[in-house]
Amino acid sequence: MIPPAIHPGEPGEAVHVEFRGWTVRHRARDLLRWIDLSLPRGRIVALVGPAGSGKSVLLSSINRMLDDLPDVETEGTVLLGGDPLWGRGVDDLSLKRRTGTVFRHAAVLPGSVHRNVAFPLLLDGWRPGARLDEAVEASLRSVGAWERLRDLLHRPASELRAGMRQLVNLARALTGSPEIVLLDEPCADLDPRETEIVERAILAISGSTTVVLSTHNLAQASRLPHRVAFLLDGKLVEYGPTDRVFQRPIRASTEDYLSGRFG
Amino acid sequence: MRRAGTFLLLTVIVLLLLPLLSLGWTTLSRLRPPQPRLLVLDDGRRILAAELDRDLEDRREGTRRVLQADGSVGFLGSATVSAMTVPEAWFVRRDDGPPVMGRLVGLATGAGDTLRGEAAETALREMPERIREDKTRMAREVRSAAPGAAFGRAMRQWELLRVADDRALAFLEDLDGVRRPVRLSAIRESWKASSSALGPWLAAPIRAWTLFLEDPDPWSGGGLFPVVSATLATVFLSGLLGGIPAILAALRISERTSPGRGARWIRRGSAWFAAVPGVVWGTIGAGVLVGGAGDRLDRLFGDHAWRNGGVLWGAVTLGALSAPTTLSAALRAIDRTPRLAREIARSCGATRWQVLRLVVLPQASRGLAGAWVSGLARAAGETAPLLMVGAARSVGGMSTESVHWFPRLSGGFLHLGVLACDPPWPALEAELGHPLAFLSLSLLAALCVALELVATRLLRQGPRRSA
Amino acid sequence: MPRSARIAEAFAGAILRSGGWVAPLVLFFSAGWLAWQAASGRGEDWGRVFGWFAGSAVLGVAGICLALPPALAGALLSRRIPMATFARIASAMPLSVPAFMILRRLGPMVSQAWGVPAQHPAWAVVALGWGLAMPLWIAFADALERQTVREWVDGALALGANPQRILWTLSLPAALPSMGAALMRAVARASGETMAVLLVSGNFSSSWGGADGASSVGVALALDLPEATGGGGLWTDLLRGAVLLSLWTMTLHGLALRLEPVDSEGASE
Repeated sequence: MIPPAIHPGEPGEAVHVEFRGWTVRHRARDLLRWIDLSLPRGRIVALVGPAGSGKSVLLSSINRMLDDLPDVETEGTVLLGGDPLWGRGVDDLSLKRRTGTVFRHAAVLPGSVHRNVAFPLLLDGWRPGARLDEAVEASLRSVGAWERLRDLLHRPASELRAGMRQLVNLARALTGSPEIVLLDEPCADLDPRETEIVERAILAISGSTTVVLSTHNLAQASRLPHRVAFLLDGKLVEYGPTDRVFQRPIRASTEDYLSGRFG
Repeated sequence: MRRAGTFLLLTVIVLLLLPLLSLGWTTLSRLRPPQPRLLVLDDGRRILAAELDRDLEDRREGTRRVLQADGSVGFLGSATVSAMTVPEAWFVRRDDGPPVMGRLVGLATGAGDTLRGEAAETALREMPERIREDKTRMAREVRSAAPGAAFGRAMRQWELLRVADDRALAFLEDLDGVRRPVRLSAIRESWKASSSALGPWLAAPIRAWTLFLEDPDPWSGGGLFPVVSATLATVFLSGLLGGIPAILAALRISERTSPGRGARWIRRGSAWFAAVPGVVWGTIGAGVLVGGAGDRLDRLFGDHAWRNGGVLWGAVTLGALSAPTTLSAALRAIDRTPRLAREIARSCGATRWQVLRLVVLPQASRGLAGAWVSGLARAAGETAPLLMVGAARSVGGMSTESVHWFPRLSGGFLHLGVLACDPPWPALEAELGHPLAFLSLSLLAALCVALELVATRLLRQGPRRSA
Repeated sequence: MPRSARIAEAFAGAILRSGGWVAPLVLFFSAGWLAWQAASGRGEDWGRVFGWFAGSAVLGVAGICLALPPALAGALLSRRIPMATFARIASAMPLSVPAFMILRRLGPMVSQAWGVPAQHPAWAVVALGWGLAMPLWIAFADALERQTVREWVDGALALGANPQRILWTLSLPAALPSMGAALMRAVARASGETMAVLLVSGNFSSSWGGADGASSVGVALALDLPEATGGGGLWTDLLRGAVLLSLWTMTLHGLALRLEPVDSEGASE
């Protein structure tokens, strides 16, 4: 467990997601080991670390996508707004509705842009109509994509460029007003211009929504989030405000990674 | 060098396609209506006869096989001096005797009138079918008449019709002046000699259609429709009994993004089961269905139908045989849907069924349809297993109730492949060159090819991009 | 989610869960029944069982040996099959169609012309080989097409190689595993179709084989299974023959999968 000195929180800052002793094992291999972490509400938190460090597993622990991996054992607790996410009697489907996720590779659902953005509402039984259209518009506006996409609503989403597809995915993730948005390397396949567009959208949505972002892009991790958590081999090595972690890392391995000596 | 290669290539292609080309040519050729012609032989004899397709024995002995005016088959050893079309000559195929040829000198209608000339020719074309329909209708009325006065009336009508039928005759006269009466209700086909060489070829497809629609008759042959309907019923029923469960299994296996051990075994197993030959499935069908379930059903219902096989047993056997093919193809179609799309849907809180319905099926529906059709194509091409679960090798050996327009599920059933390969049609069909056997085979080939082409087209499309 | 949607979903899920097990259960039950019948009966004549099996295997291998030269020549001489649609139509035929024409029309013509016996089991080999040559050709051509990497060809052309050299040094070696897999599947198919060939020969009688002289598992099953008593010696031997034949074809398919997984409809012959 990380000593409190390197796990600071601002006074009065509300905790949204909390990991307590969270461990994930898959077929005798530890994917995450004893994670103690508190994510503040309404902030952007970045997870950085080399491949295989457990960033995606941590995200999957919040949105319960770990359920799809067979032979997984977990220990500890994960709380979302004080509610346990794992354990007997927990309804994983309704929990998923409280989160929104954007994956890497800019993959989209089959169908039009409109259908992609409206998908969470279609799952809830919403029918096509004015109400659905308004919700789609609101989602696209919240990520600053309405003007770009209003004339392309009924085109297949797969025909858009990667950056636009990720905006559609971000809008979809916000449809249904989730409490937290999880972004798993959303800009991995984007060029710098598209990355900038998506990053602006991320900044636009933070404040009202907690954002957890997993990224290999250290420059992005240094400019976008409020907090940075460095993971290595499934362990949380360091966590703190972005400026402090990047300029005055406490752990040697943090400094080595951020300076590019490995990873 | 390049020219030699191209020549060799074309030679190989033609040789390999020869059976297929030969099938098409032979089918059309055998369907041509035999034409009555005046043959003048070099020994001075003149005979009215129809030349039949030359077969193996004719060539070896240097003879020519002809169907003579009285329906007997003759072998001409002499060279033909000349052959002329006889425009007034008719060829009549009937179901109470061999075919007859000759000039139509008169037609008795059965009501006491005798027609000649064009009126007789028109009546010859139209009356046989009408009389048969009247007889069928009257027989139905007799069977359904209530006992008593109504039955008596119906029987009297039937008797009158029978007498009229016996008197309704066409008279054909050959070159020697011999007149042969032909009962109109027994006439299956009749045509006048064609003066053009192209005429018989053009008539071949029409004759195919006539043979297709004709009522099946164990004596004179004809009536392919019940065979076709039984074949189609067996194949499509196998698609329901085997193909649909296979697709459900594929969807079930693909529900989880990371399959468990059972799912992995089923995936591997489907590829291996697809390798099992059809004759082995026929053996299993014979043992489990015909001998096992059929025997028990017959004891339960006091019947003898189920242990003789049936369309249902044929369909179950073909369904089991084609299920692995459908399952493998369906799994491939579902695997082509992007895994990330399924993950996105799951992350939105979609249940597994919603993921299937909203993400997988829209993208994989064409592939799943192709998988189902490829199973049908496999089933349609299998003849051997059906022999073991009750496909009849002889129309003559089946009860008349089984040989009708729509097949029944139990009892011996007909199949294009079996009947083509071991034609049970009577000697007459053999004399006329097995047109039905070749037509059956051509229809079977067309069915298999159509299904295969549809399946290939569906399976080669990638996942659709638009909704 | 509305209540009606939840009910519909539960119902659909139940159908999927239960219906999804029907096909695997039927397949495994069938295999189990066959194995149990073959193992538990009173058959003791392994000699005839292996004789039937050997007949099927030999006929299958011999038939494909006949099909191999034209299929290989065609695939190598032409990278794109001319008359491709027609060729695919021909390969989609059930084997009984070309076999029928060979055994009932073309074969007798050849027999008469050259004095070759018309009713000889060797004609079965001819029918199998001739009927499977086109599907094998298509499988070989597809393998050459699929396994040739475009970038290799472009690179070789840029270095001055001619198309024949590219074919022999690049395409053919790369396609050999797929072609080998197609060959094995063809042998498996040929071994399993001997009954269909007998059927179309029109001589469905003991001249092609009987309980003592049957030339293959398929022939033996066609001729003798209707007369065999369940559980008896002949019945058990026939089923053992069926098991051996299935193991043979499944082994060939398994080897083919190891060489090249079936990833498209074109991969299977």
